[in-house]
Amino acid sequence: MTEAFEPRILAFCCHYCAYAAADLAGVMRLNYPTGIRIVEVPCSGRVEVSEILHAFEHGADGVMVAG
Amino acid sequence: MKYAAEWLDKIGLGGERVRMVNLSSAMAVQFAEAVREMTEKIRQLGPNPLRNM
Amino acid sequence: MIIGEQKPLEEIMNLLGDARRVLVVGCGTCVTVCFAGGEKEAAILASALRMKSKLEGHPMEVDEVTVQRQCEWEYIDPLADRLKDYDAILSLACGIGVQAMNERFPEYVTLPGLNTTFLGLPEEHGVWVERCQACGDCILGLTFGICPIARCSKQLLNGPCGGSQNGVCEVSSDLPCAWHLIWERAIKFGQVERLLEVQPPKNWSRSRDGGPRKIVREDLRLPREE
Ligand code: SF4
Ligand code: SF4
Repeated sequence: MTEAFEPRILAFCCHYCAYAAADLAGVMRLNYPTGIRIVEVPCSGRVEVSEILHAFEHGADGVMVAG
Repeated sequence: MKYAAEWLDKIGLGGERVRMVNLSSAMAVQFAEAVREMTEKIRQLGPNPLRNM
Repeated sequence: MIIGEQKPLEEIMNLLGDARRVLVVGCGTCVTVCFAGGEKEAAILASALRMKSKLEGHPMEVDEVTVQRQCEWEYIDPLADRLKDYDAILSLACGIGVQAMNERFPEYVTLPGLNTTFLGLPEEHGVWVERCQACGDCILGLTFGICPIARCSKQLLNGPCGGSQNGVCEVSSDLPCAWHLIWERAIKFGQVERLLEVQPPKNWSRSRDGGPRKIVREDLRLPREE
């Protein structure tokens, strides 16, 4: 069971930094785990604690805030 | 971020499930690395117990 | 403003008991600016309660609403129709807001989600300090604008006491001596002689010692309907 577990991680990514980095990772054909879901935000500073909790409430296994 | 982690601890989900990373737009390799690290960590922690409730 | 802090989550869970449907009512004024009970805190707490109750095996449905000011009828009256849908109401306002809710909606019990701590100000981001005890007879005019009632551990009217060491109160090493500060101000303004005059005991009847207080302004009252 644990082997089959593919963590679902939500990443809030800043438009200017981490989102661009994620984009570049795609362009560079870098491999990274598929369980990640990216939400683009104008700035990582706008991510509210309540939004992070919301993600967990709806089943996220982890949350990354990348700026 | 510390505050979010504190809440997760209080709720009983574990504060380690949330993480902040600082990247610039050119840091694609580091981005992939961070995602990998986080995935590993969460794999160890196991699934969010709320998922199947 | 009024400063408060959220009660521990465990205590809130105990207060709510086995309620199934909970309404968290935030307040958009004092407790919003001290990050204890505004819209954001209400959303966080509601989410936390939903998750924790689910994990503990007795899931609650939790909604939240934030009113501009919980201590005025006109702002809470619009809640009247909503309350019947819940079996517990948790206020994130100060004690005044909680009581306003209970007074205005006597058919429901509104529970406190905060501890109302003091009247004060944010000294810096994330640090709040007490500044006034609402004594009802302000003496800031005698003390160069520093309140010894709220800030002197002994509420002395003639200070400092012998416990004042290098500007620090004997009660705690991180507590400035209010009377030391008052004297510094007197020296700065060249008016130390004003502090040498011995102040008689304060009239505490205008404070809480005289029982609950009330102010009536006849000029502002609306004509009463018979
Ligand atoms: S209810 Fe309390 S916190 Fe809200 S505005 Fe009134 S005094 Fe301030
Ligand atoms: S003297 Fe009384 S009213 Fe004035 S600041 Fe101190 S406690 Fe408040």
